[in-house]
Amino acid sequence: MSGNRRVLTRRLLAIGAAAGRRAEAGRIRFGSLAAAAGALTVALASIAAIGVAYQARMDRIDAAMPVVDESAAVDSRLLLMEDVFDELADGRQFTVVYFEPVGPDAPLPPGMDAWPEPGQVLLSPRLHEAGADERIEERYGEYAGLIDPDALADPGQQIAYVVADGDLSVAGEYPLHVVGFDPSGPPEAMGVFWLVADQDFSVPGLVAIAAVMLVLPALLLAAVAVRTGAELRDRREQLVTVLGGGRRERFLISLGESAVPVAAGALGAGAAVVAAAALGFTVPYVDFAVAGGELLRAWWLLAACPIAAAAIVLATSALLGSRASDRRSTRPRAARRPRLLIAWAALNPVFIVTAVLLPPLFAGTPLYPLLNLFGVAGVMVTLPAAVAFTTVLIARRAERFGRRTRRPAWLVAGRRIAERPRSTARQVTGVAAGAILVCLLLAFQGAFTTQAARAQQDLDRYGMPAALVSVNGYGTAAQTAEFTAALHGRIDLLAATEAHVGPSAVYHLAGSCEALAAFALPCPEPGTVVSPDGPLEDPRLQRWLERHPSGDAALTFEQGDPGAAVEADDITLLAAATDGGDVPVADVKAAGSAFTLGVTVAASDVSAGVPHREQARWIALFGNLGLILLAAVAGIGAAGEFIRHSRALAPLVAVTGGVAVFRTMAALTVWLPLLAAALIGLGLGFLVTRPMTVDSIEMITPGLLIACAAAVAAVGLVMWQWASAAMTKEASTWRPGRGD
Amino acid sequence: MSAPSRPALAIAALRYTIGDRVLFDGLELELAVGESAAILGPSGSGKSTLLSLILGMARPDEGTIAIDGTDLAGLGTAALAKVRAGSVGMVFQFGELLPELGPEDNVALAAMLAGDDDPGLPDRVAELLRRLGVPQSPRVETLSGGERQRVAVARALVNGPRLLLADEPTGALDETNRDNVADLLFALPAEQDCALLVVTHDRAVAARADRVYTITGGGLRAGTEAQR
Ligand SMILES: Nc1ncnc2c1ncn2[C@@H]1O[C@H](COP(=O)(O)OP(=O)(O)O)[C@@H](O)[C@H]1O
Ligand SMILES: [Mg+2]
Repeated sequence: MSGNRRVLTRRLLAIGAAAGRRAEAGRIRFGSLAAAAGALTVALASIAAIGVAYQARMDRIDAAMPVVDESAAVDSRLLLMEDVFDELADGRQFTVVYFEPVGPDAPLPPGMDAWPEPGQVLLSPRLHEAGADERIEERYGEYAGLIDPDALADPGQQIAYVVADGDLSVAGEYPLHVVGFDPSGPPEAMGVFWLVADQDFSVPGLVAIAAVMLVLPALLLAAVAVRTGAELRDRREQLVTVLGGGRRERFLISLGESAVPVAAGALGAGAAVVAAAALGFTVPYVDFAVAGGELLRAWWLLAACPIAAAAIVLATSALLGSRASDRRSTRPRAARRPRLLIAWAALNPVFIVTAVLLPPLFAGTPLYPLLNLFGVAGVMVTLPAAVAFTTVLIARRAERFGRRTRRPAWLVAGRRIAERPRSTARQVTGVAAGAILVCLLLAFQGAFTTQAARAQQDLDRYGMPAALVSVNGYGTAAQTAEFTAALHGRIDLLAATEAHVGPSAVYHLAGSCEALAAFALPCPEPGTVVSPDGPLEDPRLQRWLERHPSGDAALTFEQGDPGAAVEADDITLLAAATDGGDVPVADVKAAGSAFTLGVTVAASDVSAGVPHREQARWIALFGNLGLILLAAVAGIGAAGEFIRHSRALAPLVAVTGGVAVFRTMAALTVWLPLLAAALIGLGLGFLVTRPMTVDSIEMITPGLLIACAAAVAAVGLVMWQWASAAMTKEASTWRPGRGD
Repeated sequence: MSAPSRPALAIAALRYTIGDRVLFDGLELELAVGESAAILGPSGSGKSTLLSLILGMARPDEGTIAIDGTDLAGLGTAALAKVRAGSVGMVFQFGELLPELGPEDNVALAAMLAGDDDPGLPDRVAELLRRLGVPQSPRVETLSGGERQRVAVARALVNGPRLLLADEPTGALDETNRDNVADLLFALPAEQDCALLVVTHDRAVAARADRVYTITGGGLRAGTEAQR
């Protein structure tokens, strides 16, 4: 009895496997099942990888936690440490950590083997690379090599270690007394790497985006793949059901049929994941490096991904079995309600107008975002109806065009879609909604960048005719003189203090007669403070005062020594390029190494937007991958349907010729809807997010839109070729008496 | 254009083997315009294979097949396709119509695929359908089985073939419809200036043909009895 059962089990599995091998669209079925299992494996693995990489990163950030003991004796075991911020043009802020080992036993910070000489600098590899244009090697002192990337939070971290060439307890504002680096140190201590942790994308956010953009489309792909080219399996399942088979029997057939392609996809993708984890990889576009082997510390989690993916796809295959798709049913089709559909479709442009054109009428009021959001929600809700309606309109035109111009492909494809617009509309809607969602997520992300966007606009409008330079920590007159000398002939410098008189700002400048003359200011008697009589002659000064946040700032000046002012009162310096161009920030910073802790060039808030912009690249990356998956979902669905419906045409084409009809038909039913979906979705997404993005950095860049559209079009192209090749083959191998 | 003496179909000394099974050996058949022939044979006797050979989809081992005077042996794929499109029409067992198209479009499709650019095509199609008694309908889906098969016949005729082939054309029909379609088919050679070759296992259908053959011993024998 149990022997019989075993035989039956094997028989049923074999029946399923045979159905899989012989399916007319067998290659498409194999390919789409494998693709679904592979995509799901990668989607699950990427969520696992986010978690594992985050944990590993946090561990390294913790390992850079200093153990601070302010009461420790100043002896050979003590390390003084102070950090300042710096940034590259158009880059994110990073930390420059100044160390002063008091003695030879001072603890080494992570990533450093031995103490370099005072005045020497170690750079993280990414900073070294990114800063090459700005000659970062010269900025903080004498370049002595790279920080070991394995000890960094991640290999892409930007950070500089500088061994101070002065006395940190004198030059620093609050140097920490560090006796060691220890992950179990008191939590309130700020680690060497705290800034990167602060700039990170929230991990739950990243996981949520991966779930929506990768896992969900991969599940949809599985749902479509299991129904693609499943006719043979369905027939066998129905036969077995008629012969008295139950759920178990049907499940075995489905298992036998899907197991090989699903296993191939899951194992292939699993092997790729493990290889990437073992060798290390850089996530493209976001440039996030994952060290080789790092993810393998949770190897069991990675191993679980292909298994889970395969199980999910097989379960889907069994659940969405033959009963779910009884197409030969003679039930009358559900009555359609075209009036309602048209009404919904007509509302779509109304919502577009609401989202795009109404908010500006209510600028500065809560109605602005509310109307926009209301409109966006409406656009999404009415999208399926609008797409279905438009699909029918276009299909009817295509049909008429085909009949008039004797193009059989247009006639047949147009008629087909006009008769049953739902599947095409569903495919288009899926991709278009995905594209709109990507735009929305990017627009929301952009909302964090208002301040940086304004700074950028400012910079674009005014350039940087002058900039305030402040000394980090404390500087001496001698250091100021060295700094000034290093920039002599290229940069004009004055001491600058800002005061407020009532609502308006007043800048007070001081410098030698020569320095004042460089700004076309007269040289007053020592000790007298004067205002310019008449308009300022120096355009740099003029433009700089104009762009003061509180409007035009006033000006006073006197003859004086900036060095003394810096030493005595920690005063800032006003720097302007002698040739009248933009202040060469990198040069000023390099000259700033005259000071123990360097200088800060208070240029703008532009760098505040960089982390958000870099986070937005994750959204864009996952979004684009999600769109590719959605395109595959739609493309595979459309290809399967195309093959099913064109089969009746194969004998006629075989006898009358004109195989090219399949190429055009597949282009019209598989490729074109996908391309249209991408264009509609990206266009709508761009349009409805305009009101959200007026005041922020544009995350929805033309490059991104083009990349998304191109990716979808490429997926569509592959599906088109696939579908048309399958039908061409079917027609060219048709023989009388076969396939009837 | 073709001389009246030129046969629509001429098969001579045909030999065809599948593996080591000899399906045809020395098979002869000649069919003139205006004539009809039926080939009977049990399932597996090679009826469909013979049609494949006539359509040039399989190559004979020996012998010649000529359609409307053109020997298929020397033709390449493109030339073969041209002969098929221009000179051969075929009615399939299950019709193989596109369900969502109307009868007119289904018929016109065959002309379009064959590259027909006659501006009078719609009228020709309408006339053909009227003559064959196909009712108006937006979709062939809603037609009866017999009506659908008439559409399939009209489609086979639309390119004005010299040779009309039918593979079990009544196999999927009930008795009344079978008789109607069969009557229609065998009236065509006289009406449409073509030759008709019907392959069937139904003697009642075959009986309407001018000549009836049975596949036997690798050749064709006149009459309805296979001799083993
Ligand atoms: N491609 C093929 N390979 C092997 N045998 C074939 C092939 N095509 C047909 N046959 C065999 O040739 C014989 C004739 O087939 P067919 O022409 O379809 O017969 P009929 O149409 O009379 O039923 C059958 O025995 C069939 O099994
Ligand atoms: Mg047959």
